[in-house]
Amino acid sequence: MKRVALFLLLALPVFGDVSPEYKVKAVLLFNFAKFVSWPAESLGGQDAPIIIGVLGDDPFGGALEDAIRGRNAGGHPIAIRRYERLEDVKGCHLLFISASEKSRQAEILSSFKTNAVLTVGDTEDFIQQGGMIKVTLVDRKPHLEIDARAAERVGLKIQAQLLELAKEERR
Amino acid sequence: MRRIRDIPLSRKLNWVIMSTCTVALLLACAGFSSYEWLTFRSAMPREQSTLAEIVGANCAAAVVFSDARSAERTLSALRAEPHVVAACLYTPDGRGFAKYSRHDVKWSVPALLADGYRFESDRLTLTQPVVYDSERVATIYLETDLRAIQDRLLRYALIVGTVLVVALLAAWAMSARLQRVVTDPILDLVETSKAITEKHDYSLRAKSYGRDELGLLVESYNQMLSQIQEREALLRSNRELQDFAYVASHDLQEPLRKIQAFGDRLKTKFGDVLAEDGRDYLERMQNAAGRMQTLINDLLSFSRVATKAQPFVPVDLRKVAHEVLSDLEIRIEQTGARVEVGELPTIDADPLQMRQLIQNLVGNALKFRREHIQPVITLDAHVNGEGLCRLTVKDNGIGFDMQYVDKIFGVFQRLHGRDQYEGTGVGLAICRKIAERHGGQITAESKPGDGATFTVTLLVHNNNGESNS
Amino acid sequence: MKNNGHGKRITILIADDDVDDRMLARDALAECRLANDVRFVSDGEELMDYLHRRNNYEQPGNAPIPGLILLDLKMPRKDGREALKEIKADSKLRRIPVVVLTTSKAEEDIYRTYDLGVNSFITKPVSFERLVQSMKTLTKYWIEIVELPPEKR
Repeated sequence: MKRVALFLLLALPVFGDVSPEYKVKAVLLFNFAKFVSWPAESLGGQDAPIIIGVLGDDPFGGALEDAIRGRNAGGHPIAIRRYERLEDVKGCHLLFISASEKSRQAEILSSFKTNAVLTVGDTEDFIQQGGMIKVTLVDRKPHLEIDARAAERVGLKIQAQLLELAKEERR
Repeated sequence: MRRIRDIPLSRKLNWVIMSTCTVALLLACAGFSSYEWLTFRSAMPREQSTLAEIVGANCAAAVVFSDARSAERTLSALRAEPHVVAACLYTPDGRGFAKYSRHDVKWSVPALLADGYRFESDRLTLTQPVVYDSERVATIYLETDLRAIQDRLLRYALIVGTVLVVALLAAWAMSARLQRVVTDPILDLVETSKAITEKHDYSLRAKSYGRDELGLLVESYNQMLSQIQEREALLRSNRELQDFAYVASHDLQEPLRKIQAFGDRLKTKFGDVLAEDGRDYLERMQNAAGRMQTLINDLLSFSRVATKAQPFVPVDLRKVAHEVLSDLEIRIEQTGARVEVGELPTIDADPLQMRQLIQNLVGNALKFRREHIQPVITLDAHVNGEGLCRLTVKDNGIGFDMQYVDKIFGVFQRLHGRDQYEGTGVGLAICRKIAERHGGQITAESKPGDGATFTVTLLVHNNNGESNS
Repeated sequence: MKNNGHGKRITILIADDDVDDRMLARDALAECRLANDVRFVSDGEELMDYLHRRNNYEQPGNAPIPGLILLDLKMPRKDGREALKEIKADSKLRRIPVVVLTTSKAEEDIYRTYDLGVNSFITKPVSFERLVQSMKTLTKYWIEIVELPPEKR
């Protein structure tokens, strides 16, 4: 019974209405892929897809699929993956760490210190814990915090324009 | 309004050159101006499009991530381009997102227009997509005033105008100087011509400036002058000779008359005292004197054709012919000649000279008759359609060899010795002179022993009875 | 004054510049066997002097008024034409008949002298015979046949 209820809970976001916040965040997630370039070896070819992954509870529902439908980033198609456990994360380029993993966030983030994965989250201390892009909505407008050095360290290049947007907020 | 043709040559040439230059320069300026205008009208949108592209590209992230403030910051960089009046960004769904407008302009975001550029009264508006990563992320709208074009064109016009004026002035100055290359020779020729005709001085010559058509004209003009000079000299010597002939023969008459008179006196008073050979000498002397008298008379007649010429009046040649025949009546009777006169017309002529002409010809016909054959002389005339009268005197006398046909009309030219036929050989020369004075000529056709036909052509209508000889 | 039986006796004045012609004229007149008084002048000036009795001809009796003037046209100083004009313009001299005796056959000479009032115009003949004939006829005509106006002193 508990399992069914959990399943329902988990499935709810998929079948039910996605909150507008996450609709916006879904689009932002996709757009990040457009403004970031991954090192060649992590992409594996011109037509190799860029994998956007969600670790933890998926708050996006179908919004991610809606956001990426018929589009690509830098010529690469986009694929969506959902992971329950950190160990499952493999070959992902852009990972959204859900708020549900908050307790283990630091541990998760530190495990990506050597991988060319763009970590995105919306928890309070995402950046402090090692995350690269923190995306929140302020007055329904996106508010970005970016740790460019963290991204650079793993070989990711974030477009200057994007950095500019986050500049003001940067510490 | 003076006719164009009457304007002085140098001025005309100047105007021709200036008109040509002006038209050429105006066309060139118009051409360049049009080109400038056209290219500017196509260059400007391109330039603005590039500007919009750059600015738009810089705003891509701002639009994508909905950072209006950042976008506006970027747009405000357009301040650097003073001709940009305003600019704005639209989100993909057509909503205005960010804007910029020049400090002196009151402006609000217009509704989204279709992509492309439009020239309005004093604005160029440009709507174009902002593309990022092959996707249209926004639409940028740029509004520029045309002052750039206008300023530029004004400057251009000023320069063109100045250049035009300077060029025309230079053209004027140059043409004023250079047209002389053409007009100087011509004007010189005109001057010389005027001087010549005013002073009747044909020794003047026009100056030749080169070997072009004008030079050739001058050359032939000068040649003509030389010819005129020669003719003048010839005419003068002609006149002098005529006067001389007249005066000389006149003055020669007097001593000749004395010779004849005293010869005659000698014969009368002392004839019987002289021996036979003395009388013979006297006889020969008198004959010689008589011949000289005839010669002088003939010479006087010849010169009188020109000097004693009378103006032309209508002369009935038939009447003249009959008068001549009545004058020659005795000779006609003596020789038993038959003279037939055909239809002779009335022509403009000197009556006395016509008489002389016909008398000489008929007289010759009688003189050069064949022995033992009745002389038959026919006078006839034929007028053709062009006002020419051909008078013919035909005889059946001794004729002459055609190789002498020109000689017989020479002065004092004879084909026979004076013991064969009398006469000084001036009769036909007088006929030719008379014919020429009447605008015609005289020719002859003959075969030895078969008579001769003399043809005189005369103009039926002739109103310059003065200067035909 | 000797009467030649045919009429009055007059002075014949001959004006001619040519010495030969004067001689011939004198001989011809002599041949006519006329008893008329023949005078000669050699040019127009002398002719007028004679007629006006001036200069060389001042002496009375030196220049009897002629009853006939034989005038040559071509003369130096004053030619026959001018002299003729003067004669015919002078009321006293006008009545004297003038016969122009000249070499010129030119028509204009003829017309002009008749215009001037000459009484006769005769071309000088070449043969002496004819000259004599002319003189005879002349003198016969002008002296015997024609009524000459009476001599006025």
